[in-house]
Order: sequence, then structure tokens, then C-alpha cells
Amino acid sequence: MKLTESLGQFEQLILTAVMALKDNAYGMQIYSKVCEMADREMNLGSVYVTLDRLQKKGYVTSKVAGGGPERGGKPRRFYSLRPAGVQALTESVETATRISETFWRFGKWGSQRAK
Amino acid sequence: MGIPTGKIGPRKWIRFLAERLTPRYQRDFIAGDLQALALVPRLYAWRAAKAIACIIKYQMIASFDVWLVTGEASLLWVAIAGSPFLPSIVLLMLVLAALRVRDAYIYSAGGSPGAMAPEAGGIAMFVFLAETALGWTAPSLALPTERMIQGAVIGAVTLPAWRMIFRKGEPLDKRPRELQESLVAAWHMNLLWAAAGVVLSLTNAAAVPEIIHGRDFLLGGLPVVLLCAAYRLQKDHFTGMHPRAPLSLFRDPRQDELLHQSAMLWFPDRRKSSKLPAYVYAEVLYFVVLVLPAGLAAWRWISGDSSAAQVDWRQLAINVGAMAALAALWICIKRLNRQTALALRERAERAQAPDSRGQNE
Repeated sequence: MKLTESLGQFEQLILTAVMALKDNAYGMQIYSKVCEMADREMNLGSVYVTLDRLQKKGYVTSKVAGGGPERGGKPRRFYSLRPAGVQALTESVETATRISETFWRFGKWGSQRAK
Repeated sequence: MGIPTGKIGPRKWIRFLAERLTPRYQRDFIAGDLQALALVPRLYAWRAAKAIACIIKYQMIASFDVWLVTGEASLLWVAIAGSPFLPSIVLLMLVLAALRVRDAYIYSAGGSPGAMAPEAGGIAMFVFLAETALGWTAPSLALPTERMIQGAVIGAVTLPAWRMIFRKGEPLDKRPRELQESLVAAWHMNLLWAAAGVVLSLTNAAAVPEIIHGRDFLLGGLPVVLLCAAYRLQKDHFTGMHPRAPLSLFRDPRQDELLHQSAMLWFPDRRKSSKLPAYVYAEVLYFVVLVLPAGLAAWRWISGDSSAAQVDWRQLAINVGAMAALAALWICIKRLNRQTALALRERAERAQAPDSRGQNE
């Protein structure tokens, strides 16, 4: 039974990127990972806005650390998944898996694949 | 998919512009990320513009408050009172839109007197520039010069003050914020109720003409005196407003502030020993004085007095209905004051002894 709010597709991408990057999950890295997974260019602003929204929902937490010379000394905000975020992502992936299985079994391409 | 990069980074002025145009809340982080991407100038500008636009939109939605906007619109409308309708609407829309963009940049900063001065200057300048531009491009939508100056000056004073008061001291925690909202609501209701009583006593005097010289003066001033007396009689500090405790290293200022706010409400400082406290008599007398003109008018009519013909019976009937409503509201207002005062005292006690509460749990 679902215990958390449904995630939008972009939120799923963000949470997955944060999970995959582990200790290196800050703005630019998350952005690059999301672009890689989505296979298209994304808006950096959308990444920050979604991270902020996920933080308000309690799915991620953040801490600020200093930046290097490549950033002009500007700080970085590192994000990490909270247990609620892990659960929301897990439920979301399970839903996507069920959709995928049903699609390949009954969809137009699914019947061809079965053949 | 890789992120295209180039050997030449963005020019300093483009970086500076992008940084200044980014709303305050994520400025440093976004500026650092864009710089670390090391993009060619055109791509940097494009990426920065898209990111900034997205964040401004998000911040505008997050900072929007219908009551803030309503207050701004009302104050600006009063500031340009007497102006033609369509130009007034146009200016209202432009100023409100500009203030939304301003909020997008400063959110989630609270209100402060320091922020009022630049806002005042900004609003005055914006009104001047907008009206000048309208005067050149669409003269039918521009305000007359004297109205523009009037709107700029009054708007520059009232709007920043409203925005400061509205955003001042918004606690982030839910419970303190609810308490503050309850306190503000209680005070608004107290003041509005008192104002309604004053209006009622004045219209009573107008509806029932005096036959004894000086009666109107007495009936106009006595309710105010009785209300003040009822307030002071339930307080320990009879001679003045509730004194604030002096700042001290050994006292918690939060606790003092909460106790001060609780003491200022319409609620007895402590339970009096007598069955019916003195302030209750004052409150009852207040309503008696309010209803007195209606009683006088009724007596004149019953006794067949010729002055009964001068009574405005319709106004009097409305006032009697209003007095009944005022009395009913008084019960609700006293309850709100009591609940808020008790909640503030409870919060002050919890602020004083968090350790003992932890041991009891």
C-alpha cells in the first residue's frame, strides 16, 4: 500500500540522481546526472526548484559546504536522501515496473515482442 | 549525453549580470554551478537566462499572499484617489506586478525597517518611470501629473510600511506562528469592536436629540472611559501599560515577550477574590450607557413627550440591533483573548523550563 505522495517524473529523476551520486550530490552534479538519465538538456533552475520542493516534503536534506576555484569560491549545497525519500522513490519505481510489465505484455509492441 | 563546454568561459560582465539577476535565495549556488560548467558565452547566457526565469517564477508563486496583495492594492488605490478609473487600474497592475517580482527576489526575508527605504525609493521611481513611459506611448492611460506625484509620494510611504508589517516576524515554526496569528487576530478584533462601540454611541446621540445640555458629551465619552476602566481594573498594573522587563543576561527575552503579550490582552492578570470582579461591573455599565439613548427615546414615547417626534426611530432600531450583535461578539472576543493569553502563558512556561519537561516525558 502506498504511504507517500506520488512523485512526478522529474522528481523521480532528481531523487535517483541524488541516490546514485551518494556523497557527491550537489547542484551541478545532480544536474549532469539528470541530463544523462533523461538523455536531453534540462533547466538548471528546475533542478534547484525541484530539490527545494523535495526538501520541503521531507524527502531530501541538504548541507552547505565551501566551493573550489572552479566555482569562483561559491558554496555548494550537498543533498542526501531521507528515509521518506527512499520510500517514495521505491514506491515510484515499483509502480513504473508494473506499468512497464503491463505495457510489454499487452501493448502493440508487447505482442510483437512476445512473438 | 555530455554537457557541451568550451575553452573560453563567459565574460565577467555576463557572469556579474547573471549573478545579480538571480533571486537571492539560491544565488551563490547557481552562480557557482554555472561557472563550473565552463560554457561558451552564448550558451552560458542562455542557460543562465532559463535558470533565472524558472527560479523567479517559482519564487513568485512561493511568495504570493492574497492578503498582502489586497493590502497593497487598497493602499495604492487610496494613494491615487481622485484619478481617472482606467489609468488608475493600469498603474495598479503595473505596481503590483513589479512588487511580485521584487518579492521573488527577496523571499523568504522577513520585513524590516531597513528594507523600507530602498522599497520606498523604488516604488516612487517606478511610478514616475511607468507614468512617463505611458505618457509617451499611450497618453490616455497615463495619470495626470499631480495625481502621479500624489500616488508616488503616498504610495512610497504606505506600501513599504504595509509590506514591512505584513512580513515582520513570521516565525518559521508552526506553533509560534499560529500563536502570533491568534494574537494579531485578537487585537484586530478588540480594536474593531471598540471602534464599533464609539460609532454606535455617536449615532445614538444623533438619533435621540438631547434635551439636557451636555448629555451628548457624556454619552459620547463615557463608553470610552468605562471600557478603559474595565481594562485597567482586571490588570495588576493600574497606573500604566504593562511594563516590559528590562533586558537582562539572566532572563529569557522570549519568555518576557510572551508574558508581555499575554498581559496586554483582555484577560485578568489573576483571578480576583470577589465573586464578581470590578471590571465586570464596568463592562455591564458600558452596555447600559450604550443602550441608554434607546431607553430615553422609549420613555419619551411612552410618556407622550413632544420630543419623541424628533427621534430617528429607524436609526435607533438599527442601533439596537447593532448593540445586540456587539454584545454577542463581546462574548466571542473575550473567549479569543482568554484562549490566546493562556496559550501565550503556557508557551512562556515551556520556554522557561524545557529541561524539566524533558525529564517528565
